[in-house]
Amino acid sequence: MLGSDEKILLAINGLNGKSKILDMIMSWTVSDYLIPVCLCLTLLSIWFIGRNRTIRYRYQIGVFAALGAMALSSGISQLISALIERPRPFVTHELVVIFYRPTDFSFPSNPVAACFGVAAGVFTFNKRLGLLMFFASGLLAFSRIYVGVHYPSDVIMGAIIGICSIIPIYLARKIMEPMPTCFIKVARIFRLA
Amino acid sequence: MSFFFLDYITFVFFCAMGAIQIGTSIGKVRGLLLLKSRVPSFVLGISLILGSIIWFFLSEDRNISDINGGLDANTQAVGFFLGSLIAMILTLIISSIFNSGFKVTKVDQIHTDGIESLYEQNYFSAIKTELAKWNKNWNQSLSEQFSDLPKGIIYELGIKIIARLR
Repeated sequence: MLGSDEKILLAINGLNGKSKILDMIMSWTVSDYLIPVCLCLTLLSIWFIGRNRTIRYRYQIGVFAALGAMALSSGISQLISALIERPRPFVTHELVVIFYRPTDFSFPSNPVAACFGVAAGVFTFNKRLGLLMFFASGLLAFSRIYVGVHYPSDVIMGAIIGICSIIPIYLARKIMEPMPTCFIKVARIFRLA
Repeated sequence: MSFFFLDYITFVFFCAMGAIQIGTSIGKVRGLLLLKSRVPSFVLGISLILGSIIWFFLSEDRNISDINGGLDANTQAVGFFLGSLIAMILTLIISSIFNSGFKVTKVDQIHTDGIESLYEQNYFSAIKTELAKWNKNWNQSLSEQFSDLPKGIIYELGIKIIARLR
């Protein structure tokens, strides 16, 4: 008897091999080097984007918040992964895997958590860019099910961890803010912030 | 150092050059643009990112496990940092050379502080001005920069603890 998690996994993974173009797109979007790198590059761009000093300062503080959320969500997901030890779906089901077979545990998805963490961080100060980053993170989440390395519940939990990780960062902003502000001040001396 | 790692740094380097061009063209930081105006620099940025993505993914199969020659998360982070750092340093040098003939139109409108100073002058000129300022009075420059730091809870706690100890 299959649960809904397995049913969705088999349905999405069943699309595999039906369209060469979709397979190619998914093999790119699932890569460790495309969406995570693009999200970090967006943070690099955001550093310079603000049109005046006040907006730029808010964005630069936001970049630190997004990095903090990424680190926190990654740490939490690794901790949960070590506690739950859920095997990868290709170990327990016959799936078409068009990606390398990761050796670590499946639940929750660490890259999805990290990407959603960054997107949530950006969403707090720029809604449009944040939504775009959520879309990219969602694409990564879908492609990880498509290629057969995660269950849907893994990526959903990863997304929840990522989104929620911005909350402690936001709550701790009063304690944390002097550190990034100090960094920005030093960068301003070197005309880089 | 593996070829994969070198490829990754090269990929990040060109992407970061592109990202910096996009950011500076939107933020109107003319002193860091590699081309004369903002729109061509923005297009250059997009082209650099797209070109390097296409090169990186079409040149070889990049979906490799870290056990079989791929990169683990830590190596990826180091590679990203190195690639971006090199891109930033080269952008500062190249943009300063390309924008060496920058003519300041309204002298009284020059921003003398932070990245805003790069609206109207190149990076080397801005740093030269900053160094001259520091050379003249480093003590005052330091207090100007750091006097308005947000104090935060740790600062308040520290003050209370010191007061009690006294």
